[in-house]
Amino acid sequence: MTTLSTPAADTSDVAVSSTARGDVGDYIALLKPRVMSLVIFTAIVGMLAAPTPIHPVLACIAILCIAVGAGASGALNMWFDADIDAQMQRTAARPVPRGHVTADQALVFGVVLSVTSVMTLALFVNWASAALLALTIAFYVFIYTMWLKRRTAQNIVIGGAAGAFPPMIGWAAATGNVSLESVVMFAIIFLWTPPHFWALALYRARDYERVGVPMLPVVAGAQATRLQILLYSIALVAVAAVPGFIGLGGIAYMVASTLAGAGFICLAWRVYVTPDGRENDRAAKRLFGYSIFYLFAVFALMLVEHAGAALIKVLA
Amino acid sequence: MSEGLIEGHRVETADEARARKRRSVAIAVALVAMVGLFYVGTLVKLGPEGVRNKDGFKNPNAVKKALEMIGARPATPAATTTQPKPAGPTATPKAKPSDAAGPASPSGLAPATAQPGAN
Repeated sequence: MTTLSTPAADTSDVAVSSTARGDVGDYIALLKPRVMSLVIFTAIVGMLAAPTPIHPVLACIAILCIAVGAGASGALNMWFDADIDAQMQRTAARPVPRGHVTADQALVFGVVLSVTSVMTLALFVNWASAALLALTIAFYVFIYTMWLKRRTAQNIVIGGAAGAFPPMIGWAAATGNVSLESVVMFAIIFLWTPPHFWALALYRARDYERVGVPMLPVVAGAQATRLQILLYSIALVAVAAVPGFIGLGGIAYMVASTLAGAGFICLAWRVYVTPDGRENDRAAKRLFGYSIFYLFAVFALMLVEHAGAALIKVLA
Repeated sequence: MSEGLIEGHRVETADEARARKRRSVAIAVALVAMVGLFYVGTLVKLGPEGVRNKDGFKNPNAVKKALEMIGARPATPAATTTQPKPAGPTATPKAKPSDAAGPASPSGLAPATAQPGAN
């Protein structure tokens, strides 16, 4: 059966035309699945580390809502940033710049998923976690994407808060409130974000410069960025030790997170002392990759220790 | 892959038609999954009694749980608040079964609503 669709007003402007050949995979790509995996994992840790147990079905609903909400904010980010995504090597293959999904479709997709995820979380879990999820989406879309990203070199420092909320949402889903433990988990991700993104920005600086996004290496230079990476890494490792003092992690957590943190600082130091050029790009790439492993490791350690403690309690 | 214009409208290519069909299937699956999720979530929140709701809103537990779910407090039954105190020391302290408005409701709702078939 042949179906008809209205022609695009301007055939050169594929991304905003009313026709789209987007497949299901393109819509999944709009949700930024790799970012989502980290969000889901940290939210699960926040939920399981909470002292109040949550019904498994409600826990699954909460995790699904957090994942969909995070994905929705990714779709809204791709809708707003379609113009610069098309010019950057790293993002040119995204569905909107490729014309597989129109900007309008990405907007509608993001809004529908945002509203659905927040309302479902409020209805089945609690209003505190739903409010935090709404704040996360709003912060990422309005504060980071629309306001800070193209205006200040501190964009990912402040905007990083959006990525730090998921363990707090997980905690709130289980307990109905926010406490010191969840704030510490928030702080770990908040301090992790600058060295993680600036490592990426160091070897993608030309991309950001071309589209006029004022990332730190573009505005302050590579050397200033390397110093900031080192300082934030030291602060991160110090804060990552706090769970060991407030009962979120035990001795195993303290030892393993300190070792992992030492590795983080070593790589940040190597980025700092390596001169400009390919060697420095390689060091920055290594730090970027290691930072992802580090965050997974720190939260996995918390999870393992909590699961271990719960198991011992059951066996005893 | 054929593409052309018919009376000002662009003909959908075979690839686009396939993608549209897959999108439609994905939307249908997502909607069915959402219905299932809401059903299971409601079961967990209200309990099987609340979902079965065989007595409709006459079932005090279902109403109580529904009110709890939306964060509202059940109304204080009028029978317990407006009953006058018996005057004088000779008044019997024990109420006769016929004086009682109905069985005590665990939900705090008016007893009339707690009896199936009362309305």
